[in-house]
Amino acid sequence: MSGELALMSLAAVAQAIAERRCSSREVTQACLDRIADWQPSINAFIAIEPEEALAAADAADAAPPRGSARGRLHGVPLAHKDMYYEAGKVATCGSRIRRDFIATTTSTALARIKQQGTVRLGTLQMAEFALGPTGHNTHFGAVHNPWNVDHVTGGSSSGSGAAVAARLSFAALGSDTGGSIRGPANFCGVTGLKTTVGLVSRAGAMPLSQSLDTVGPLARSVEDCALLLGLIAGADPADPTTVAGPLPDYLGATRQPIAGLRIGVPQAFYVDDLDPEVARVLEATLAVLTGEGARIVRVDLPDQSQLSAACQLVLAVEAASFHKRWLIERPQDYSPQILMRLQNGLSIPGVTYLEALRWRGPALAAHLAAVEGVDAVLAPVAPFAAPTLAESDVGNAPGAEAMIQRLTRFTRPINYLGLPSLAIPAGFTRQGLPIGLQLIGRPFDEAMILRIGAGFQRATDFHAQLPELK
Amino acid sequence: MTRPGPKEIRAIADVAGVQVDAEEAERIAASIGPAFDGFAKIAGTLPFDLEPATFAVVQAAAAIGKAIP
Repeated sequence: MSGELALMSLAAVAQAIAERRCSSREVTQACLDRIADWQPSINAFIAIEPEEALAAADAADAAPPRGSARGRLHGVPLAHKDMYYEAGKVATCGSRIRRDFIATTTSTALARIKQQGTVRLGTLQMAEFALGPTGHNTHFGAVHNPWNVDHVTGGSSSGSGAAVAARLSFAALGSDTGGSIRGPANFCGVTGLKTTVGLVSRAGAMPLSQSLDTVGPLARSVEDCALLLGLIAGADPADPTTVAGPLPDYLGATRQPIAGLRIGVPQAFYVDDLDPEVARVLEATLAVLTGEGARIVRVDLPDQSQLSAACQLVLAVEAASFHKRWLIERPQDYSPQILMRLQNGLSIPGVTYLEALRWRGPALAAHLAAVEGVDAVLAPVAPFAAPTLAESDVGNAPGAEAMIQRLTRFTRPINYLGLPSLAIPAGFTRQGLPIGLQLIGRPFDEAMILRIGAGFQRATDFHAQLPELK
Repeated sequence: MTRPGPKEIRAIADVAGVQVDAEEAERIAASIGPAFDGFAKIAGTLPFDLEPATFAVVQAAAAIGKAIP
């Protein structure tokens, strides 16, 4: 029974604890047991806090059974990417520079989840300062893919993807600036939601690029992502870029049928140079969606490589600006690869950076015109399944830098446009590695992509598959 | 738009107050060069009155179903 508790969905385990069918301690212990089993193989956690977690679980179990004291996730153990500040706790940001940094505030997204009564298991691995799409980390060691430990998890939310896939945490916050939620979700076989710029507060989350950063969940299902989004979304005075207004019923959207919806499929860029196994999964997914009553239509999108280039220019300058003091004072404390990526921003003139920002509005307008009448666009997250750690190690493998550029080729344009995108597991390679696809929506229309993703997951069981510990 | 070479990169970085050596400048030029190339067709073509906040205007219009400006 104990092991089975850790395999439940977020929604199901929260309900089980609320109905006293199991205790928070039993669930927390089940997660800690799995963490003890898996951590040596996949290195998903930066910090594991068993004593504190069990104490918090006991406190949750001692709380009155009903009433306002209990939140929607009362007693549910979770861990998050180690860049969400929690007052009094270390947030390493995956770096040597912040190895001992103790936050003095708590991030809004994390606080909103904690207010629902969750139990902290520890903190999850990530690329150094969220600047890397593979899962390598010089300071804390690489994170290994639970489906095959010789392969990468994707990044930068590497620990979030691995921990959710291995059922060590019921869900996890990630962040997505160039693909950092969708990449790990894709390579680890879990569901990940990149939110619209302005929907979820970034206050108290480590910054990388103020124009592109987004906060979102990785979870075991679309329903679990919808549950978490409903908790973290909405205006926040501490992040003035968040947009005020009523929020949709995201969970309710996941129960809506998808028959009659129009799903666009790009005719170029996202289908160019695909690995045959990714192409096969895309075709199979279209067949499933058609079977569920959705209508598949061709869409001709504007030049996505220009969007990708603009994304790189904006990200490079903003990241270099955040890091400038440390680039001057502590360059030796970065790993060589991260230092190199940060230095890229030093080479871009201010006028070029501002042109890249000024073009964002017209580029979004052109995209929206191209997808007029379409409810969502379906595309691969990456052109191939997870590469090996060895072949994607920039410091040691020739050609690794080019591979890394390809890893984020299909995600960067969406960050530039600020659109929501839901990565869902959609199949496996013959070697058993997950392949995912992304549903790209209109601004602030997360409800629609959650609806379509949930419809797909009702018809398939890719999201329910479990990796085996070897 | 011309992508900056190592010499220009060293000068820009120096103005920014961060020193990069010749080898680093070579690597930066090779790494960020494709982004300059990809954006070349856009650079220098934007209308005079366009400012970055247009993005938020388009985003908001799309969210409430108004005509996209």
